Amino acid sequence: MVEFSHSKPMLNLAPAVHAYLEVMFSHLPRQLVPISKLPFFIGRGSENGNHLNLDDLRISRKCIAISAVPEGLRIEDQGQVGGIFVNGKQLTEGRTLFEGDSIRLGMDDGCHLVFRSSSESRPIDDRRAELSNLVAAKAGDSQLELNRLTLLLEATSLLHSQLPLESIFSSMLDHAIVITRADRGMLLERDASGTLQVKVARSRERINLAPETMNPSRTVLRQAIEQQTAVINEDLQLADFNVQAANSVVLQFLRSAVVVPLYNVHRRNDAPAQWPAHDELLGAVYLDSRRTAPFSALDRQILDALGAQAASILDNTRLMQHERERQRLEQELSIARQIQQALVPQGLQDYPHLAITGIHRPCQEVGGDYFDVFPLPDGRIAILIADVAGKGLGAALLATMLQGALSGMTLGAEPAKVFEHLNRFLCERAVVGRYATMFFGLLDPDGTLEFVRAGHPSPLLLRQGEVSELYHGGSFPIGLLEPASYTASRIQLEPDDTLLLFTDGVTEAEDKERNLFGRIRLMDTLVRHSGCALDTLQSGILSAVQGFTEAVTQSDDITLLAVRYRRPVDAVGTVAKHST
Amino acid sequence: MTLTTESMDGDITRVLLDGRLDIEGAAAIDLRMNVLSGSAKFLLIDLRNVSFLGSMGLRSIVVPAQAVRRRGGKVALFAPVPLVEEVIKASNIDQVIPVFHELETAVATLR
Repeated sequence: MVEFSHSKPMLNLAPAVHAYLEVMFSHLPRQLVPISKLPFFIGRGSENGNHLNLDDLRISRKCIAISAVPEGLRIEDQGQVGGIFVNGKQLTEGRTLFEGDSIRLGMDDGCHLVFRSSSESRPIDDRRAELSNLVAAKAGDSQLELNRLTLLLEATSLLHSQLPLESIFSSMLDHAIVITRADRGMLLERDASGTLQVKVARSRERINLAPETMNPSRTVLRQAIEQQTAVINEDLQLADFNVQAANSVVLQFLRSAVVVPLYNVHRRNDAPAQWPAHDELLGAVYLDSRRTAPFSALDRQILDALGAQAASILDNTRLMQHERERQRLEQELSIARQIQQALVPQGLQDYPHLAITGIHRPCQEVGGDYFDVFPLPDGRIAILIADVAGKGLGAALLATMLQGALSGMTLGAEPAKVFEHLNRFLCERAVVGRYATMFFGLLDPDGTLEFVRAGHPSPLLLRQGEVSELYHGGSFPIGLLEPASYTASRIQLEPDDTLLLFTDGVTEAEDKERNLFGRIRLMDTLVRHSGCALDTLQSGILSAVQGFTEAVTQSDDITLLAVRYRRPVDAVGTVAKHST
Repeated sequence: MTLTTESMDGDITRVLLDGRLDIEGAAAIDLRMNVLSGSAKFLLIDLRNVSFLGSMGLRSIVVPAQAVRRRGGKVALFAPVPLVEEVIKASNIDQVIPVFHELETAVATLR
């Protein structure tokens, strides 16, 4: 009877722990203990402040202290009866610990610790060797091998960030081969289409075999998956009654095989009792031998335990891969966000003839909305707002590109021409698959506003407590239709006129019944804030939108840009005599 | 978002869209709209059951429509609700793809 205690795989992604103690006591199961705190105390009884409690009368209450020093970790004898021996030498004063140091406690050979570290600086090969030492195979005792496999599982969790997956899988297979006494072993993993593909293959001599030359019996694999349990087949030729299906087996003259299907063990453990039996199939361990009946003596429980362990390793490594991938993406997104935020004009500067405030609130990490304000050499101020279709990284990329292109207006290009150029550019590269709506205005100190629009909702004009739209009717967005053309229009602003530029994330904000905030509500809110400072006006609109949507998650970017025209100045910048 | 098609007399394919053409809705129909744009000669896009048209949704209509037109076909939009028609007009799309509220007129234009 095999007692199989499944230690739940640890997925410790915190980088802090890099050193461990391998605890080997003659009568205790071998275990790896992370040195989680410094100083780290070892002794009998946890009530004495010991982090590693060795409940053994041969151990003194205060036995060892491990503390951090510039060179690494330092071990000191705290009063162990009979002394502490590191690599056979008695510890008289403290010394720095190195990977693999053997620590004997007292005079008894049965009390033994090994120091394990996985510092970043050590080469991978070292660690691989270490891992294979850690689980070094001694043929013969399946139970022992299984314990070593458990150890490997723990080591997988501990060393995951440094070890290539292939070497973890190879070690796992080497164990499976030793446990079953097979000639070779393969780890098969399910690919995206659900087919089992050989991922790693190893020989009894611990040599890698080329996965593509492997030809596992699909018949036996299918059998194991259908029965959801390990299958031992002592004569494959008999099993493969279908000659065509059996072809691969005949070709290689293989006689016997063991297939252990691997299922997601987390789910099985965490699932309620009524959980359906079909767990997620991760893959299979396939072992075969040219000898006849080498597997007949195999204990089914050993095989099941092997399957559970191998599945944990596979599952664990997958989780790690996903986690690493997720972290990488998150990091890149946050870089994208930093870039985008850096491109939004920082600390909007007021100009002599206008006050400005703006906000961009993306609904995801990065967004497709943006606004910009920049002065032209002729004294006019460019104000622009843009909304790229879609959201997320794709939209943000195009928004950034547009921003760069439009900043070229400072070179004196005609806005309508720039719009036409950008439209052609994007349409010719149709695969970009995104378009944008935009409003671009140039505000002269004398109050003339020249503007070009591209499918963007009309900014609202607040003049003496009344709200109107700058324009009605449509215009072509940028990058949607090739033959589009754009024209510039002009209006005259009066002192204290306020222009509110916005994106449809404002008017299309939804409440929980999916009603839209709408233009009318926006206009009403604007009227209510006539005479307010721009900051107050902006926060008033934001809170009106928030109050409307209540708990509904923001589904689109929200961008506002408010511009107030002040009393006109003459060409040299002196304030004209003008009553306000 | 659902998309169904029916064949009408005169080589017209009527595409009935139903639901919200937001980002998710657009993603749901994009592939089929692309297939249609490669095969249909006259396309009648029936929008009467589309309750919302977002910018990605607009793209899902305009890009296939342009593909049909490039192949010498014709496209018409039919019966958008006011909110949806507003989006179409704000983008000037109605200048390129005509919008109809009467089926007979739409069909007559396509033939």
